[in-house]
Amino acid sequence: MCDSCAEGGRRCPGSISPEARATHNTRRRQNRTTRAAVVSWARQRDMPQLALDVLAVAPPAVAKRWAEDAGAPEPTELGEQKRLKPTETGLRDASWATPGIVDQVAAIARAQGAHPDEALLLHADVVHDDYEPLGVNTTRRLELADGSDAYFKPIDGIDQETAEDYGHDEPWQSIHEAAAWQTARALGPEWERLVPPCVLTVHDGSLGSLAAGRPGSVSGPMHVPDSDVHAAAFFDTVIGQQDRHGSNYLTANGGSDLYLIDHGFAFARPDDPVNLSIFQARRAATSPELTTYELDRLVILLRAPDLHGLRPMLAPDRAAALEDRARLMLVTGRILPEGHF
Amino acid sequence: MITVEFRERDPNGAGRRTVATLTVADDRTYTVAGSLPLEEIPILDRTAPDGRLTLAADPVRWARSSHKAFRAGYVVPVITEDTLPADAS
Repeated sequence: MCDSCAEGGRRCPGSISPEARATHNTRRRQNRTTRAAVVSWARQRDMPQLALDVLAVAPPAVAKRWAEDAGAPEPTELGEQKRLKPTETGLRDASWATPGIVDQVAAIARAQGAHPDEALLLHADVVHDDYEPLGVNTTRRLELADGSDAYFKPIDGIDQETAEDYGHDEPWQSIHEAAAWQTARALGPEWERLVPPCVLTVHDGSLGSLAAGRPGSVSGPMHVPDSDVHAAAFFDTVIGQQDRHGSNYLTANGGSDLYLIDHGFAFARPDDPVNLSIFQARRAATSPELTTYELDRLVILLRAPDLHGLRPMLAPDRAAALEDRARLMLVTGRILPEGHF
Repeated sequence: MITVEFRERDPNGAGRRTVATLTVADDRTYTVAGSLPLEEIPILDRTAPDGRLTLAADPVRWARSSHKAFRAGYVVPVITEDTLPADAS
């Protein structure tokens, strides 16, 4: 089957004849059967439902490659499976999926839900989708039944050109939003307080990140205590934040409370570009020495081989870069300069 | 002329309020009204000098690319008017 418009849309140029069409349809059925068998095999290995559903609607070639990487038997040995029903989470499409992202989704899905704020987001009752039709943002503000709001960033709404500017060749932004929150959790309550809780979930048929709304404004006064500015700088350094500009945080309560928003472009690798990282730059210039408590948090993070569960949530080179940054901070005892990934 | 309204959720209501407005005139000069520090917000852009696009350096391109800087959903840039040619940058 050809999806390319240049090749005539859904049908291959050579599939006009009845024989070619029959061959084509047979191959499609075989591919779907194989994909269903891969999902069944993954289910037996306790893959979380969210990742199963990504596999279920991913291109069959992705499911096959994922199965090979995961050590599954040959497709012919997986047995006959019925065609998949609509997914349990409501996910309609995962044409963006890669085998690596399937595993990253699985890792995040396993980690999320234990924290009470994550559970609230996962079971959120959306009463209004405040989509700005004239806007160009694809992040959607959702109003929830309890009166709060949350921000949904769908993977299939990613601006590819912007992503490429930041060195993203796969749709990682929503993954990174959720991984950043998990990093804050791994570091401790001082950072949990600054970062809105965030989960990966399905809304309106799309997979994306759903971050809890926080009070405040990007245009309000800024009277944040130095301790929070320093904590923000530490967090941004650890996650390799590529774009903490002056409107990528909120202030509330007369400007004394700080909330960090937008972690899509983070977990950068060496030589990835940086736009701004204002808290990191400020602390690196004025107060770069890490506190004993921060050094302890780095030790705890690095002591776990899987970086407290963060490693499988990230692409391997991005996880390695995070580990290297943490080690360098531990060795030097200082915040790294802006853009040092 | 290009007009971009930056709309933030209204803490006192369900809708959004305009917290800043960028206007780029036909002669490529610009004005910013409101409380967002737009001139301090560069946009990563591989085609710009130093890889960063600033409002002062190219107001037309910055206005049309402003969505790239506001991705979290709290502020939505809305281009309400754009009468300049497509290649006006």
